[in-house]
Formats: sequence, C-alpha cells, structure tokens
Amino acid sequence: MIQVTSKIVSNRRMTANCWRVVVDAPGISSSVKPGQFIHVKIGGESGPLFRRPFSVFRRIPLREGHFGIEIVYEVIGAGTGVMKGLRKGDTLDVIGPLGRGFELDRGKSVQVVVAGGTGAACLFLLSEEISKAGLPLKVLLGAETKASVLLKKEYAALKGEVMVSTDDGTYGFHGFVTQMLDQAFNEGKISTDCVIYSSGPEPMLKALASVCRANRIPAQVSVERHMMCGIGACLACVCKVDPNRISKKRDLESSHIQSVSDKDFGYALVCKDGPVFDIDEVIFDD
Amino acid sequence: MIKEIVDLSVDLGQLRLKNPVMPSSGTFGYGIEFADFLNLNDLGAIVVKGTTLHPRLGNFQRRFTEIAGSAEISTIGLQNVGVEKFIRDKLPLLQKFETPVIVNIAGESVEEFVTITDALMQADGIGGIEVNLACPNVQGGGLQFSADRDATFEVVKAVRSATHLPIIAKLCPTITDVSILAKVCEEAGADAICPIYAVMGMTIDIHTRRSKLGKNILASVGGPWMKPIALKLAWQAAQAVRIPIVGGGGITCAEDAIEFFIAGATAVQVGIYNFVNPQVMIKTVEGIKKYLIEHRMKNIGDLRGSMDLS
Repeated sequence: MIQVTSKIVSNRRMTANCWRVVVDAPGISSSVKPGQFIHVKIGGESGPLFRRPFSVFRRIPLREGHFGIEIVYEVIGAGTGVMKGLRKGDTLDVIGPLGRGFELDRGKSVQVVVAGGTGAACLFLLSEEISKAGLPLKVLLGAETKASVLLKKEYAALKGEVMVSTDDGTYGFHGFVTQMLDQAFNEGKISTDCVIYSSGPEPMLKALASVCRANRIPAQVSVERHMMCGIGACLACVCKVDPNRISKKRDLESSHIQSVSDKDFGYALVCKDGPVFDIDEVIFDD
Repeated sequence: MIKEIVDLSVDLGQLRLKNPVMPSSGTFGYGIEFADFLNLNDLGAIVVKGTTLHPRLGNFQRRFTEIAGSAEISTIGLQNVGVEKFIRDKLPLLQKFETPVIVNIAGESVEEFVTITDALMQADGIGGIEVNLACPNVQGGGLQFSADRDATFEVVKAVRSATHLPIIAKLCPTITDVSILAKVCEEAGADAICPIYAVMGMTIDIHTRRSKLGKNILASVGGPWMKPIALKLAWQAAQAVRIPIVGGGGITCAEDAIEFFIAGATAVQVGIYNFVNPQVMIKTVEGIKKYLIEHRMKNIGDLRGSMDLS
C-alpha cells in the first residue's frame, strides 16, 4: 500500500445522487485487485477530518500504458459532499490499495454477481476478470428505481447476462435483487451449482445469506463500515464473525480476527480481514 | 546535514529518545501497521495500544463518528490481544527496530496494573511503561483512577515498586485538578506525566434519538479541537512538577507540537491524526528541526518552557 497525491482527471454526475470520479494514481491502479478499496482524504485540511473508504470500480486507460482508477460514489455526507464539488486538476490524498478482495472460484458452473445500489461498482473489476476468463457470468443489479440503476451499460459490455431489479418495479424485476435471485434459482434460470459475489447494503447481504444457506451456495460478500485509519490500527471498523466458521483459506498468522473464550462471536477488521468475507463467516446482527 | 545541527534528543527518566515525538496509545496500533508509510526508527518512541491482562474484544458497533470536521468521538473499548499475546506475537516484530517501545497498560484494579507490569518485566525490549489512569477503577466504584488522587497515587506507587522501567503517568484530569494529580504522580515515583487522554462525551442522532454510536453511549472525544485545552493542561502540569511533561491532544503538525514545547512539554504524543495522515509524526519531527534551525536553537531543550510571559 502507498500514499499518493492524485490528480482528478474527471468527476461527473451519473444519476441524481451518484457520481463517478477518475483519479491518476498509477502506483495504485497497477496493483489493485478486485474488491480492494482506497482510503481518501478529501478537500485537504479544510475538508472533513477523516479519510473516506471507496471501493475501486475499474482501471481506466489515461494514456499509453498508463491507467487511472475510477470510483463511483453516492453523495451522502460531508466527505462526498465536498468530493462532488472537486474538478479536473484538483487533488485527493489517496492510500491504497487496501484490504482483502474477492477470490475467483473457478470450480462452479456459473459465476453470479449480485449488486445492490453502489455495490455495483465494487464488483466490476471482478466481473471483468470473470468475463475475460470466459467463465459463465450472470450479473444481478438491484436499485431503488429505474433512474438509480447503476453501471448497466458497463456490465452489458461484458460477456454475460445482466438482470435488473428495482424496488418500485419501474424497471426489470419488481422487488429486491435477492428476491430476483431466489426466483431465478426456483425457476432454474440460474444453476445452484454457482458461486456468488456480492456487495450492497447490509440488510441485502443478510437476505442473501438466507438464500445461500437454503441453496447451499458459497458466497463472498464485501462488507461496508465507516473507517478511521483503514490500515488495521484503530480497530473501529469491526465486523462480527463466527469464530467457528472462519474460512480455511485465511492466513491466521496475519489475520486480525479476535475472539475470546466466553463469547460466541469474534471481531474481524473490515479494512484488513475484509472488506470481502465468506458469507458464512459474518454474523449480520450488529 | 540537519541532524548534525540540532539535537532533538530528550530524556524521560532514564529513557533517552532520539526525538520528542511519539504516538498516543491507541492511535498507532502496534506500530507495525504503519511500517509501509514511515520508518519506525525515525520516531522518538512507539507507544502501543492499551494492553490489558486478558484479551478484550472491545465494544459493539458503531465505534466512532466524526463531529463537525475537527473532532471525533470513539469507543473502541480497549480491544487488544492481552499482555501475554502482546509479548509473544507483537513485541518481537517491534524489536527489529531501535526505537524504544512504551507499553500502555490498563488495569481494573491496582493489583491488575501490577500483574501486567510483572508480565512485561519478564519480556525483553520494553523501553517504558505508560500507566493508563483513565481506566475505570472497577473495585473502587467505576470512576476513572485519575478522578481520585489517592487511587492515582496507589496505582503509580504500585507500578513503581514493580518496575525499574521509566513510567509515564497518563491522566484524564476532568474532575481533579491536573496540578494536584501531577504532583501526586511525581511523589509516587512517575518519571513523566502525560496530562490528557481524550475526554468523555456523547452524541445523539436527533432523528432516531439514539446514540450515534449504536449501543455505545459514552465515548472519548478527541481531535484538533482539543488542543487549546490540552495545551493548558500541559502548561499547568509543567508548572506543578519537576519531572518531564509529555504533552499532546489535537496535534496535527509541527506547529501544534511546538506550542506544547513552549508551554513546557519535554515530548509530545500525536493522536488521531495518525489515522488521517500516517506520516504526520515524521513531518512533525522534520518541522520541529526546521523551526529550531530558523530560530537559531541547537537543542530542543532551548525551546522547552520558553513562553514569553512579559
């Protein structure tokens, strides 16, 4: 991970409340893996106190052999409020790439990407990798309403099928993206011999966990938390985990997961042990 | 070249630091987390996370929130690996560096402070002990130790008897006057006083009427806003005792640190700004050097307590 001052290449509105910003951060774009994030100080000393974490949407060519990184953000607070006012040539102080990302599971017959809202950004690098690898891909995008569907065009350009749900039924399936997924399994549109990768609001991930349990499907989910340091020092971004269901793929030596004998849960650090977890590891009640 | 011109070294009891800048416990993890961003050998000391006798999981979500751009309120709840695992897993990683390691210890009783100190005394490579007197005195009714001068005295005295290592007494003087507490700590055998932890506060979401920190209500308030208050405490403590003062509270840059030296501090701790800019302490050291050169001072000691009161 590195800390760099990065110039903004473009910063554009996508929907009523979502924006996309491209920053020139070569040291990060060359090493970022799907599902990893960057931690950004917005607006210098006059901006908000802490950095804000954003998942990387994609690498984007700026000039010959030189890639920038693009992030998609929803304007929800002081940080993103300042961010939307920044222009080409303004700078951001960026730390990254950070965290444990997705790991491609090639053993299943279908790769299923389930995104809620801005979670669509977090899953794109992975979907590109799946598409390039020629693996069967289904992308399920959930949004509140037709106007807030994100990145449909970008996903449609990949080799795979894109399905859209809206909470109000103004576009595609009427209901939550997890309900669309459940129906697709029930109707045989998607084989349950699949692996799921997901990112979205926590209630959505919780609903996904029950769909996965019912169909015995492995899933990797990106968990979101407010963060202070982003590098494993402050212990603010904890996620409740089940100590008995920690993924065997984890290197326990370097893991920050902590549990104590008199409690039936442990805490993982989202910035280091995540943001991507196996869905079975996470306890969604915090 | 600059290194040869100015002397930044300071002494806390028998502990010599190559420069007066160190992190505040809890804002620098175990130090290793920052190794990608700075050379740990360039720090005066590394003060590690508050260490308890047994491992602690800490508090529920949510653990912090930002307030009005210059403050944070957080309640980690002393999540830490416990003294045994600290010595086994964390300390060896720090021993690769020459910078002294100061262990912040947090006990629930006088006896527990002593037990933790005894355990640390069995380990090699510890440069000093910082006694966290902002801990609740569980046996004494739950008030912070530093709310009470007798409890403060007892803890520092007991830790003093258990170790020859330099002791920093870290206070949270929101109830009892800092001058009184500093004197009590000096009398009990502390080598240095750090006069402030983040102070306790709370925050409410007016739409839900719940704490903005979920199930957590009381939490520590820190950040740049607290510097004037912290500076006053450093000043008062420096007036009260002969032993060194480790100032801190709201430091974001060299200029902030320099105010503390002028007020009488021997060393400074940088707090939550480590989370904002992981290189802040290195920049602070560089800025202090530059200031001394510009003001034709050869020694950081020339700056200490140099406030012009005329």
